[in-house]
Amino acid sequence: MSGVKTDDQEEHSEPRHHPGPTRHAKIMRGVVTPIFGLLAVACIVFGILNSTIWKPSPSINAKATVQDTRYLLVDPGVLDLVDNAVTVSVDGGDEARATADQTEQGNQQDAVDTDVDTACIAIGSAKDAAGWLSGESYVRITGLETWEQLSTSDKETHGTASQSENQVSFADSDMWTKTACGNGTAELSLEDATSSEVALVDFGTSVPDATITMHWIRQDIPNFAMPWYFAGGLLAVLAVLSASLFAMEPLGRRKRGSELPEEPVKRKPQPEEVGIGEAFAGSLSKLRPTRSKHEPGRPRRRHARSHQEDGQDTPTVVDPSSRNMVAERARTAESGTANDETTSVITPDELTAYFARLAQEVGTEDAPAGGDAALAVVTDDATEVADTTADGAPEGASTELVVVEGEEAHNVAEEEPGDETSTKEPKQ
Amino acid sequence: MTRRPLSILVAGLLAAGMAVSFGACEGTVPQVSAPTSDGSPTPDLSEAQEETIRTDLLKTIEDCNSQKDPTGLEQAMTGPELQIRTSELLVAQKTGKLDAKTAIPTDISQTVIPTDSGWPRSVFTITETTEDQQSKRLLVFTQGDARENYKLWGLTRLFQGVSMPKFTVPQIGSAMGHEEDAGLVMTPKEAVARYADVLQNGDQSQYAGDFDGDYFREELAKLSATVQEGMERNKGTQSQTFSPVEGQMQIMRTADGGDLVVAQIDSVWTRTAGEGRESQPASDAEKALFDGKATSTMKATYVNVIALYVPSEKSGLKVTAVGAERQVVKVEAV
Repeated sequence: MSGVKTDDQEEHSEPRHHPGPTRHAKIMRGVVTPIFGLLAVACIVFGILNSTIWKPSPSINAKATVQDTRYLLVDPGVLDLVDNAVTVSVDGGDEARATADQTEQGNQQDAVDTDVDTACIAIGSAKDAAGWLSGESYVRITGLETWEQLSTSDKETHGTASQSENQVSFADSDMWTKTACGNGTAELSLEDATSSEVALVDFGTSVPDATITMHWIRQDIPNFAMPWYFAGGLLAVLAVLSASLFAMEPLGRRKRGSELPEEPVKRKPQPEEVGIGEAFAGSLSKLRPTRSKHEPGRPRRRHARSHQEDGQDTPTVVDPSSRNMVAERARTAESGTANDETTSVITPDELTAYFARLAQEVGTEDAPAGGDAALAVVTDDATEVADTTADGAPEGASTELVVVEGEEAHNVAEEEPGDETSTKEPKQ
Repeated sequence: MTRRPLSILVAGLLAAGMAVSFGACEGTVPQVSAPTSDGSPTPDLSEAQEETIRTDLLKTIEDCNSQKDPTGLEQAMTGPELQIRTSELLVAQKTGKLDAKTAIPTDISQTVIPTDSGWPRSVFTITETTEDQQSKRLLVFTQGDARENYKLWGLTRLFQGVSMPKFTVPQIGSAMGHEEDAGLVMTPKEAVARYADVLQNGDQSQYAGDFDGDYFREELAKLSATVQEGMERNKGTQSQTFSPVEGQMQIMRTADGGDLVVAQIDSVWTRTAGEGRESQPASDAEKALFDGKATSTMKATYVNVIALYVPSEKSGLKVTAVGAERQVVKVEAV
């Protein structure tokens, strides 16, 4: 069926060697490609979403609420956990503010400026903070639980309280590198927090509900979009490949299969470079029926079988396929099968010229009989042949290569394009 | 064909799951790395903090100086320097002129910041010379408690041309020493006690050989000899006793393993005039502080702050006094 279809296709198609969409190609192009395409689009959509509305927020606001405490200690390493620039803000709640108001009312003008600042944040070293907190209970801010939540410790108390008579107020201590105070609330910004620094918060009195918020701007936001784009790109490439290369793959196999039984042919046409596909196509019409016979078998076996068959046709080591090809071309030329004609490289005119040359060469070839030093060389590697022939100096190359029969060598030579042959002719 | 709706459903669920799981992803939460502060102690203060503290204190002191009023001095001073400056200001009130030695330059040549985590803490700062080319001052600031602030505890004028021991740079910080530090030619406490003995007994002291000669000791000996001469003419007597003050000692480890010790040594100078004469104050400062009726015996109490470099045992050096301050704080007729 497929063979017939292919032929039909070829009738309508351009002089390309493509036989038309096979079932495999249909599946690849009709099913696999759309799947890859859809996945690619989905990936890119996810990528765009991740780089826009789902983009991780660079602004981190982590919060913690602490009950019944006067002091909060932000542990070393927490201030610079996300970035060196950090803003710490605390809110002692109404309790802290009420105290402040009362102080304000009670002391009238005297203490308005000093005592109103009930909540203070100070930055210092861990040992200084520990010294200040000696004998006091406090809650530690130990890190980030989530991006929105600060983790806290239980209430702790260490050491004994200071008995000094010369105590200074929290905000006035020499130990702090930076302080910020306010009425019930305070906010302090650090540009370059270090891991050894701690923040100590004093609400002035034990407050039932204290809130601490730390704000960072993340510098290194994880790029979740890029993997999506990458996957999308890969899938897009896969989609394109499955629509083109992968869809053609079985064809390629077929070509190889058709060629392998006639290995020497493969070697010979290769020098023509452009001729690979064309040579396949040329032999396709003949080989297809054979293939359909051996369809259940693997291509290589088919090759082997056909190789044997071909070998019987031509008892010598001579590459039979070349002859077949030539013969076939001749046949097709005679029969005037337009389709095969168009797909083959050699036009009837060329073929005629070829035969003329062949006749001529056969005549001349008889002289070097052994053909040893001549261009009659075929090696296992077709490319080497290609090289020697393309060089137009076969004599030099022949010394290294395995010499095959003279006749065969002719074939190699003859298969070459007209130009090459013409350059060779004068030499001979 | 029947699988198709199911496939669509599964695909839909998968897509939704992906959307949810990938949609709100914010990356992993950073963890606090374990503190490694135990390995290398950090300085208790930055240089900037030291400067702020010193500037604030000197401003307070300057205010007191300009008003010649020691009332606010307690805000900025403690220990022997509080006694000394109070006395100087009282003398200035009387004489109308503040002694030039009270000047404290604001520029510093070096500061030594401790790394100790406990209290009390002390910071040693060496100033530049004063505007009138007086010698450099060694300032000792102390913080008695975590809830207290630094105050100027001691001030000594460094001797001209004295070579000071080297200290670790303030960015690294120095360790504070202790009264009983071992590995030195003598412990700081011993050094102070023996130096007091040398001051009291001069070359007759059994410890005189333990100390290099210094300006303060020589001047004191000269003064004592002069007074002695006068006293002998009047058949009077004079005696001076030097006694270290317990607990008033600040010690900083030097880079070469020695200790720089700054300690208070109180001295009482008793002069008894002979032949029924009155014993008079021996200096302008004593005169300013003395307000009573002179008797045959006059007792002047001095506060001395001395800075001793106690080298390490291996150095082969002697203990050297590098700076001192001396001020009469009380003069009374007995």
